[in-house]
Amino acid sequence: MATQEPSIPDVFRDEADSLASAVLASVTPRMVNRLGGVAESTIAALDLLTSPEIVNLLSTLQRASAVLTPLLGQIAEIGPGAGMEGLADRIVRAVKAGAVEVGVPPRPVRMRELLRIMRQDPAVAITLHFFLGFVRSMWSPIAGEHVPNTEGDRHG
Amino acid sequence: MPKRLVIVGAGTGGLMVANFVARDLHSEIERGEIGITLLGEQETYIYQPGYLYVVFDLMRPAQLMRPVRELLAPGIRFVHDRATRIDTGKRQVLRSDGDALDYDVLVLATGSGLNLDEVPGLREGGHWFYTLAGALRLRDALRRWHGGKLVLTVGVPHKCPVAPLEFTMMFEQWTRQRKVRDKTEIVYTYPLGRAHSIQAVADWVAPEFEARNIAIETFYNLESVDHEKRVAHSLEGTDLPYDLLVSVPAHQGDELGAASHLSGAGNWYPTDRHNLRVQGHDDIFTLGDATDLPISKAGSVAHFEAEVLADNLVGVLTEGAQPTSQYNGRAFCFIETGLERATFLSFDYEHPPTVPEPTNAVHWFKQTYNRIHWANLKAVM
Repeated sequence: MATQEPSIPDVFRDEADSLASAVLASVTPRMVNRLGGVAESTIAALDLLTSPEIVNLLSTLQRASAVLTPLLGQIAEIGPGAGMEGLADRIVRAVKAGAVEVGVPPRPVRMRELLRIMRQDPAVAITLHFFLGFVRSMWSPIAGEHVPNTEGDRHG
Repeated sequence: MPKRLVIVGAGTGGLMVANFVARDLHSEIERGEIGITLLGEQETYIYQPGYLYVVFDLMRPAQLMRPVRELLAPGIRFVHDRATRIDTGKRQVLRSDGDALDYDVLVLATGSGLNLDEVPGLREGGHWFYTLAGALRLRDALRRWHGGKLVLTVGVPHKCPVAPLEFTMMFEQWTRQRKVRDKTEIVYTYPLGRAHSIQAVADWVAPEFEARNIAIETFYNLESVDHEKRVAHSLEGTDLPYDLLVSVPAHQGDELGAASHLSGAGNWYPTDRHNLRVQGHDDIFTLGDATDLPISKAGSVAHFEAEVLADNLVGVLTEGAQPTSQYNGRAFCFIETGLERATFLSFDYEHPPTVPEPTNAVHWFKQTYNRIHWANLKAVM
């Protein structure tokens, strides 16, 4: 009796089954919890960006743009509407997008709009990235200590 | 005075424990109640499972490396130095520069290293893929390969117990891709009376190798290598001529254990199999390759142990509690069965593994994990 070749759906099912088994065997509940935490903190960071307090802060920065650092000046040259004043305007516009002045649309809509603007305007994205880094550094006050060592690579 | 957690070793186990605890206790760290210090000999972390892919030109070394500092959760203090001795009476880790780190709780994640000098002639005549330099040298040898006889030898104990099988099967398919399989002879040796220490793996691999025309030489304990005549001698009296000798050298624990009178035979720390305490020391824990536990020395083991240990350390540091989470011997190992398919082993103290049928999907899962391992290290997942 001839041996029957496995059908295409059978092959796919076997591949999917093997993948599911490997994932189940390798993942721990704590990993899933941590992933949930990360998703939550990303959303929290974006929420923070779109809060009225931040919009107010950015508006203040916008008014004080003439005295901001040369670094921001360089960033401002990237993307459309080059110039310090233009950059501050664009940041405020991005953060405001849907968040405060356009009522209260569902969170995914607000996030999508902000991410869309950040993708289109690298200067805005870079500045907001720095800003988030600054916020993070506020609750991470302990700097790493560096002690030079010239020992060889014992572990290869 | 904050409670001081000191972790010695910035490999997989050390980094994961540090990050898991730091993320759980970030408020306590911020308030100055807990201090976490990671003491690491290297400033660059290397993803060691990647060496196997470097050998076959499937990954570049740069893809395996990240600065340790970039992998640390906020609040962890990194000290780049070598620990030379633990003074358990004073609760201090002594450093090579003469300074000392005080601890309330200590974690020894000092890993394992190769014992290349156990076999005379091996350094001169052999290749290995358990260090980056070794993997690059073997990659260069393979780039020049046009056929001949490859002999693979295995010393015990060694980390990643299935890596010798993976190398052999990847090499076999690689020679077919390079159209030199008919000019290549492959001999896989193993020190026991079967092809692998895990019975299920031995039972699975014997017919696999037979189908691929890979010879198996059992009871082969490499004793010496005559690198001029290109012959590998075994304790059992078997001489194997070779064109390329690939060896998995026996591993040993870090010398810190011996210098501190904490380790036993092989420099492994005598370890409680469930709470991972170094026996006889309530304030010292260990994990990963450094333990003497009867389980595989593998990254997944370090990971699973780190989760249990971090849970316990949180209780110990914040409440002075006794450890309650227990490690059950869980291990997970991918097995690349060539260049396109893979399977895996999953087992613990009570449940031996089986070997599922290899698939493309598991191979690509492994490839994916190779690239997202960093998220795991950083306690992002």
